[in-house]
Amino acid sequence: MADLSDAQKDALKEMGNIGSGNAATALSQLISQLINISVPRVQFVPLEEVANQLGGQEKPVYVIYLDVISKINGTMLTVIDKETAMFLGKSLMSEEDLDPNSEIYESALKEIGSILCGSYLSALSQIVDETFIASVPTMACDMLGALLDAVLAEIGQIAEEVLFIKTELLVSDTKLQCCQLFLPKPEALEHLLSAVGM
Amino acid sequence: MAVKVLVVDDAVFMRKMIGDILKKEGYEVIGEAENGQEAVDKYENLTPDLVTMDIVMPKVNDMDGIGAVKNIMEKDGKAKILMVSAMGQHALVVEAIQAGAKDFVTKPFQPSRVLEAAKRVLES
Repeated sequence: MADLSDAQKDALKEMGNIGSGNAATALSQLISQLINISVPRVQFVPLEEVANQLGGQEKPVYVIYLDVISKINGTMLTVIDKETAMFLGKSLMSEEDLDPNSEIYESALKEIGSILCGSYLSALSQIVDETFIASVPTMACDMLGALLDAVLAEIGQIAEEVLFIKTELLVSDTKLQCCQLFLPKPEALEHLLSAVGM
Repeated sequence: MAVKVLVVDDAVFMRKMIGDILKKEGYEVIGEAENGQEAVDKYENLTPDLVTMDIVMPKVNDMDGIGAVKNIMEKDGKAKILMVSAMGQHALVVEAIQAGAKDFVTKPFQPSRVLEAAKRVLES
């Protein structure tokens, strides 16, 4: 990825912007509240730096991830910190279901991550005119460093950097810590760029 | 008499959400299933008037949401199935409709969308 031209990096950044904007819209519909989004920060980050960019190795988070199966294949991740998870839970569930250890609480978060991934990929799909098929999502809850190490292990063998898009979501005065990462495989990156004429 | 519904989704949260939407409008949720195989089994046992079917679920006995639609339609050509999909699953939705599903809703959805789609499916 380090060999990409500035124009190619800009094209990928724009795709990330549109994808995360679409995801924020989906989240807004889901919790029935207006969400303001910051201008996404998009950059290529070395794999070992990803956890630091998201708040630190020991930060407790939920990670929902799925495989993207198409000519443009890769992995899509949504990272939600625990406070944000509880905020979203309160928007969706009754008080009695708001137990972080309950099955329905975990199920709700997994569904949120799945919807965010789907809406991001839907935007990307329209830009590149390519059909994406997403796998069944998987969710894990642990310290960020440990989770990313596990999820990124496979990708780390073939990519030194990842396309990192961080968007801050604001509901009233509450800042939500929710981040999406799309990690295209190297061969998929070529398809992605050629699809937009780069 | 209330319309009998089978709600199929691997996410318990989504089963509850869809079930609550339908119950508030007078539908009777007579069963839930968390995978395609369970959906087929419960369809045979419960004979619901309407099925809401998640499109992406873990395969059990090599059967996912679309597989369950095909299986149910083979056994009951008059089955009324409403697909529930996430954004970006257009190709899978088309496959499900070709297999016999009558309509679909896309997550995230407003309750009114689910109810309108359910009504369309029942009238189809």
